[in-house]
Amino acid sequence: MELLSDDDLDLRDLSDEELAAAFDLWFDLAQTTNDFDPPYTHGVFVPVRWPGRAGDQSAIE
Amino acid sequence: MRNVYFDLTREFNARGRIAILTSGQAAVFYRTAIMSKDGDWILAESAEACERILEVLAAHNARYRPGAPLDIRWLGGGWSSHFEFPDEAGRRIRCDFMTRPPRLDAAVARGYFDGPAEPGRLEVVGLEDLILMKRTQRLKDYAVIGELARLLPPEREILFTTDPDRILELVPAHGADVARLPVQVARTEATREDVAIALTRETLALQEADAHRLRVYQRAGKAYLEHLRASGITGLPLAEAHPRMLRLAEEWLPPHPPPPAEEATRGTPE
Repeated sequence: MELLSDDDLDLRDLSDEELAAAFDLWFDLAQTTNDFDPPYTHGVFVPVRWPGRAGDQSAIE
Repeated sequence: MRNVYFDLTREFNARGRIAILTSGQAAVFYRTAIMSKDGDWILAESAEACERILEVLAAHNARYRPGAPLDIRWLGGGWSSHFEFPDEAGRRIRCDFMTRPPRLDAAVARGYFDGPAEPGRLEVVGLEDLILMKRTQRLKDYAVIGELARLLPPEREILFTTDPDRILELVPAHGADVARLPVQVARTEATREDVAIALTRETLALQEADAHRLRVYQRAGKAYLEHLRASGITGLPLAEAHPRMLRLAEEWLPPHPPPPAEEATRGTPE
């Protein structure tokens, strides 16, 4: 069972420069969803939701 | 075109190895996935390392995001520190730091800073340590674990893979003496479904263990975060914000929250 597509796996055939370029382009595109990102993806504050952010409905929980 | 987080890693370590790239950007380094917009580092637990990070981030005009101050009094208790700044293109750069990453023995984390640094080498967490750190509450991390595990030798892959087909393939040659439950199931007359069910149960246990760990910090940090939010500190330049964060944390943030219950170790090699 392949958990990622062939395109995803093709990262391994990229040179260092191609990998950096791929990330840079993806990072540019990914900026469009910034307002909808959770406030934390790592660390111990991951469950915290900050009032006033898009999608937040509660005080600090 | 560059990876801004790879560049930051080099910048942090320009005067000595203090920051090890981990989590999502480590998955990029290992050419497994491009799915993280943030940078995460294991930081050397020293005042000098904190000072260097703050110096670099201040030069980028970073601000604190709500979290613990970058100080070993709290980092040593497992707290995390978070920052953000816009790069020259206006893109959001998020930087997160811990000295005691979850599920990693403290001595193992310290070991990353032993010995001489290799010139030109990007400092990145090891594969097995990365996998341990990725055993979070997030289901998507387990798919990445499966792909990271493929990069390991087969006798190690079987200890970490989340792919039932790989477990079934590896068991004949590498399944003996492996305590991990999905592997034990695969060694019987089990079907693929049986192995998949065992893997799902293992994942659920790991997710719950991480959730439990975070609930401890959530409870311990609640009052501090409320005061931090009211203070406006996170909008200030770091030179001004950092001492104020320290004073707030000294009053409201316990350096060492009550220890979490023993984490699920199913699937973790001994």
